Amino acid sequence: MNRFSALLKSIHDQLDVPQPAKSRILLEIAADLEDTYEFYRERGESEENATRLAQEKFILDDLTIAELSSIHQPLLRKWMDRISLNVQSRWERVLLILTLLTIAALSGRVLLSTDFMQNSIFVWPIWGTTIAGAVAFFIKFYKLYLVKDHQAKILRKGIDIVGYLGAFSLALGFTGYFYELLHYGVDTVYPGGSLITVITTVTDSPQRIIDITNCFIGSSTVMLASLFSTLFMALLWYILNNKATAIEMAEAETLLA
Amino acid sequence: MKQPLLDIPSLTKNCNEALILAILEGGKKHGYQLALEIEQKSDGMFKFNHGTLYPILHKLEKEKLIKGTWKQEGPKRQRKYYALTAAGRKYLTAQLTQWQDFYAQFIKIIGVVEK
Repeated sequence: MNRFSALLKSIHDQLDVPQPAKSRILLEIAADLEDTYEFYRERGESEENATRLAQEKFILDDLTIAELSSIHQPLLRKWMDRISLNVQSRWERVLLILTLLTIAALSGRVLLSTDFMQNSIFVWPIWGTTIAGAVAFFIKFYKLYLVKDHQAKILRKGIDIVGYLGAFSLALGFTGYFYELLHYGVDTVYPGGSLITVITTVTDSPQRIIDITNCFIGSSTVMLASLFSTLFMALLWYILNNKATAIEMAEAETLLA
Repeated sequence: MKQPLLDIPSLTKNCNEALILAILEGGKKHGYQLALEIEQKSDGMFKFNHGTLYPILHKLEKEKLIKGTWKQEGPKRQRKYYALTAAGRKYLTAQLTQWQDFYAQFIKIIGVVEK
């Protein structure tokens, strides 16, 4: 067993980098540790002392670990970190919000049309959930931005509700999607058949083609509405969460100043 | 080419980088040799916790200012040697100029205070 295995294991556990890079870092440190150990041995230190002195030279503090992890993080991870709230610059946040708003505006026009909304009964509860999310957003927005109620204990209260409503909308979408397939597909197109039959069926009967098309229009409508609603609420949640994080960071900076 | 930025907040970082690059100008070295040589040449003024060397070395390597190569030494030991690249040499020259300017300004002020 390597005399430095405990230290190397501790470094291994702390480093948050992909395994190949981690292994190379450990190999490098292990070789240098051995050299340092030999250096102290040549100076007449006992094995125990030389091991201890060498280890002391290689203690990696939190900052060093963080720097190493940051250098060896894969590009994808770095990109994901750019998206995270703590490291984003103001223009990146604005750009992200503008992009999402553009998507919401373009798709919203289609999704809110009367034809679209009459395609499935599930569209209404999804829009209801979206409105509830929007109301929750405006209440919290009013408190954070206008009243400026920034008390720590209630700072994040009400933010996650918007996120949960988004998740609920997605769940409604999945439920509605399968309901439409089952209801129109299995009951109308092929009574007594299975979902697979509906999806994979090939027919030249004009009525069945119309039924199958209607079935897919219904299920797709629900899923589209749900995805749009979830995206919209994710955006609202993001705006609130971003503000709360900014307030918390400002408070922390004040404390550390 | 990457230009050094010698300002007060990044002083330690730049100092460490310059020390490492300057030692590597003398030829290939591995981490332990670098730390030892810096310590010896500075009569013990610049003492590195060896662990802190790795982020600096790996960052310089990523910026292609130095190049690391692995070498098998004995049956079990693999060692990484670092060498200065052409870009690293230019960067070091730029660092040297900046350090000279910095030092001159620093002494100018300290000198005034002494008088």
